[in-house]
Amino acid sequence: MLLSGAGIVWACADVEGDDSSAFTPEYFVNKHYSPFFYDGYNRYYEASDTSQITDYNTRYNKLVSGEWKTFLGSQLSPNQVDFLLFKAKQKQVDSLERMVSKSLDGRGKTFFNYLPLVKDCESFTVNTQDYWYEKVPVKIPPAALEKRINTALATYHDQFIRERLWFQLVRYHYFQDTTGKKAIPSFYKYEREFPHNLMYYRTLGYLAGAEYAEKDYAHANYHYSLCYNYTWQMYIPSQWSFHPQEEADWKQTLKLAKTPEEKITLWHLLGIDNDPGRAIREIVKINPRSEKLDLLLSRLINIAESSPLTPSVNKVDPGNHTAFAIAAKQGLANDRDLRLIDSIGNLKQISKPYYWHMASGYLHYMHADYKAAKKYYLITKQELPANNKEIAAQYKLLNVLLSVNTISHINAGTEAQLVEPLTWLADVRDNKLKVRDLRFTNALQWVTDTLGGMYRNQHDRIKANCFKTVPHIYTDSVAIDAIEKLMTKVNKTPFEKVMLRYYPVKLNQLYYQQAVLVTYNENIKSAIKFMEKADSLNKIVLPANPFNSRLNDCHDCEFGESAKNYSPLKFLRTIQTLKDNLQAGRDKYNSALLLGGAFYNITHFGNSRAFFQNDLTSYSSQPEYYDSDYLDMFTSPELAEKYYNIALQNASTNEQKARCVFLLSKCERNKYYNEHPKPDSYGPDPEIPPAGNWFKELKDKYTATDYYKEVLKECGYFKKYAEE
Amino acid sequence: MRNRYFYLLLACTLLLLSCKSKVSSNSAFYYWKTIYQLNPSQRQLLSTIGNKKIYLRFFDITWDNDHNQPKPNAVLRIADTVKGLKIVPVIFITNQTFHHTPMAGLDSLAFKSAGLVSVMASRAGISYQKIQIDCDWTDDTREKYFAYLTAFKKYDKHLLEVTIRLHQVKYRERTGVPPVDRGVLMFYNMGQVKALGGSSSIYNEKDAAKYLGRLDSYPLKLDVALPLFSWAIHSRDGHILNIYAQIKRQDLQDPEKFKPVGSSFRAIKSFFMKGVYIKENDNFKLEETNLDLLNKAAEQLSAKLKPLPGRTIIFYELANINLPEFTLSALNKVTDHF
Repeated sequence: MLLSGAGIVWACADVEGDDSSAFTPEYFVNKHYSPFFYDGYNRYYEASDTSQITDYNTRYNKLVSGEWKTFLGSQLSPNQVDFLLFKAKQKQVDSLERMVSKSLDGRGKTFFNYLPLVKDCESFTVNTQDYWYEKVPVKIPPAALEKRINTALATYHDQFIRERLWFQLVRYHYFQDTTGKKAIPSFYKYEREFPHNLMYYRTLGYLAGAEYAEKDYAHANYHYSLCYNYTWQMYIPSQWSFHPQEEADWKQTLKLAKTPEEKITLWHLLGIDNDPGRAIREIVKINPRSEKLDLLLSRLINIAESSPLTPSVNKVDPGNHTAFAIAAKQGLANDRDLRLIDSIGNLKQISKPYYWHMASGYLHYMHADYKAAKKYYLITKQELPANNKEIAAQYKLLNVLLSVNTISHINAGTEAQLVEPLTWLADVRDNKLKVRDLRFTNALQWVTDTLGGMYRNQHDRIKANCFKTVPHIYTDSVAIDAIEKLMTKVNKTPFEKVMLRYYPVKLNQLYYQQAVLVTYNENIKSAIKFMEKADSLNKIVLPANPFNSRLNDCHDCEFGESAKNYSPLKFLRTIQTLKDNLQAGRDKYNSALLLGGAFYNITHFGNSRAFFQNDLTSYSSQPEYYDSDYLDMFTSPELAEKYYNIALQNASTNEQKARCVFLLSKCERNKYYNEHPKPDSYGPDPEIPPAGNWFKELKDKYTATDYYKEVLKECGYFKKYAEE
Repeated sequence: MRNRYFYLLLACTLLLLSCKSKVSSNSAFYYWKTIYQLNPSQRQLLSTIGNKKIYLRFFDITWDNDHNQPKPNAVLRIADTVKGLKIVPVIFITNQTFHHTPMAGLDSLAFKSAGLVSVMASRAGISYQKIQIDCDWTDDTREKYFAYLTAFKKYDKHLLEVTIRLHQVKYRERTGVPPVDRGVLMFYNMGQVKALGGSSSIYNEKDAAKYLGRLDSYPLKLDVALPLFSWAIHSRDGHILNIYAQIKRQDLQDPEKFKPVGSSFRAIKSFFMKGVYIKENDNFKLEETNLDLLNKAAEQLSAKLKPLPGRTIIFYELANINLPEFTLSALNKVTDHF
């Protein structure tokens, strides 16, 4: 937010992010102030309609053309005026002038005489260039223009035109002489002629710029504040330029203020970027009803939400609740701004008591001072404006946070109390209740984290898991059973109903998970039963033939190579058939080879990660990134090894044997990888694993086979070994 | 015992110096402001110590969220003569630019940035032998950054050098070695910037030591950049607000405004100073580079660097030197370490 001084551009870290807020300024502050709503990451807060005033070239277009249309009356159509002012090139101006010349009166003619001057002045003031190929755009105004403006000023007597010419002159001098020396006298030479309208204040802005260049900060900032005070369209450039340098010039600026409102504006401007608390204190002394307080209060709240000392909704680790409460309470005693807001809330003259009291409540909440927070919220409740859905929702949201926070132990009674707020919050989340701009996402996260944490502390893993995933719970089939039972329970309590709205996992995912778990225990019959219940998920198509034993592992390459006609269910059923065959002694070599392939492919190294990677087990492209719950399950080659060994024992030809031996060597190598994970995932790649027993056997016994030749061709590592 | 150790150290240092005296190094300065305009003392420093060699930041490239594209930022305005100076144009690119720019956009980025350097240089009448690119790239942007550098070389035939940060030396397997002609080792900004306490983030021996283990085997020829700046870290409630070069020790030693607390200064009221609003209880921590520190840094680094004839020592940066102790002979002594 603050600008680095001295023109130095520091190589800063580049961060992006989002503020953690539960308080919506839109409901309390005039929308024209929205660019100044607190935003920790951007210079201006982006509300739905900020763009029209953040465009430096077109900000005043509508106002300017409106003034011209009034001035010209009906001799030109509104579209013609807009076109002439903002789009037309001089040639187009000329040809349009020829077309309408007969119907022009004196004003119309003046307009056309004035236009070429405007267009020429825009050559140094309007900047829309993509400056990849341009130097930093400091444009020097052409020298001849000054004379043209002065001649025009000597020619025209109409105040409307003269004021514009004066504006052009001051702006011309501002750009022509960057020390500010020329713009100041040209401002004062004509100033008295004109009413204090938009044109006047735009000219005053250039006077302020010239004073700033002359290092007369006291006057510059005072004049910027007058521009700010004139109209909301001037908020951004005036606030952007307002920069007291030293305490002395700031004090002098304050002395320049002629009316209470001018003084309020100065404090308001100081408050926006620098110190909302101090500004509020000073403004309240002058006028506690001032609407310029609204923005400052919203900034004070939003800044407090992001301050490290007043941990906000999403910063607290629910497991560390006590430590947070202690730290937050310590901050309470030192928070002068909070005491200030509390005291202002007691004043009779404030204009929106509900705003001040809600602010007090929320600030106390942030300091873990829940008793005071509750007191202020109760006061607020009596004062809420009727029929204002948004403010009611804001009030509700803060109350939900407080009510969840004040629970120390959850029992049937507290659960009953939570039904209503949790239902409301879920309705907001699901857009069943539409509340424009409500900042509920952080609050939602905080509520679920807190409830999840509390249930865990009370050793209720199932309920805890509904709000926040409990570690290891999805490898615990007893727990999964319990969740399924809860989900399928016929007479759910109202609390259970709403609690399950916070649980993101579907029944079929749970059945699928159970099927996966028992598959790795080789309990295939049971796996099939679970998988049959995992509707829709059991029908996904695995990306490659899961029974294929490829020579070299290449996860994605296999997707195009083999027929894709296995769903998880069909896959499991086929495994069972193969196991039955093997047991019955039918086609033992082939059955075992296919089973080896199947169990190999459902490890990380095989072609069917899709079988076991899902939202519950998570997705990983590196073996070392699997959760410890699944690491062994998804990387161990033991099941594959078991069946490749059976295949080897039942192989009848050397070709078949060579194949089994090589596939076993792959398992051996994977085992080595598992036992020697990268010590530091950023470090150099690990050493190549030792060749192992199976390479030796392949080289010793099967050099004559075709498969051996294929291995030599495909596996560079083996080739290297063989040539040694 | 302690004395003996000291003399031994001194002897070693002298030995080191005498061994290296055959290898000549030369100094230069960075210039990092947005307007190029030298005052007489800067001009004098540049010609006496800096061999008239200046590494001039031409522009930054940052990511423009509004238009979803990289754009040049803080483009240098050259408002002073560059006659007789040896200039190396520098482009600073944020790492974020590479996070966002797609692979397919890098060639055009290289084309545009090389073009902008060349346009700016020719307008200012600058001829140059090499270009420096400064980017704190990481392992996740390595591929894009290197592709950008390769493309840059395609469009600009001058020698290309890049800045190398200490972590990029230590973790070279992870961050890679950029495909360029030469590197400049940035020997500053090595520690974490902290609101209060702790050692200086500009240079501290302990943090530096962690990164120097394999410096001598780094595959690029390395020049060296050393810090010649001080700054004040402005914090509120333990949260850093900004870092200011213009706030100096003498500002903070004003008892009307600040109270020294440990090694920092706490504001005793709210006020404006040098264009900065300071709130009551705000803290300032000074991190100063003085000659002693600079010599320590040079000593530590030179002992670990592979010797390189004609190595350039670049001081960061010219516009911000105000300590009178940085005289010609003092800075020459620093350079003599290399």
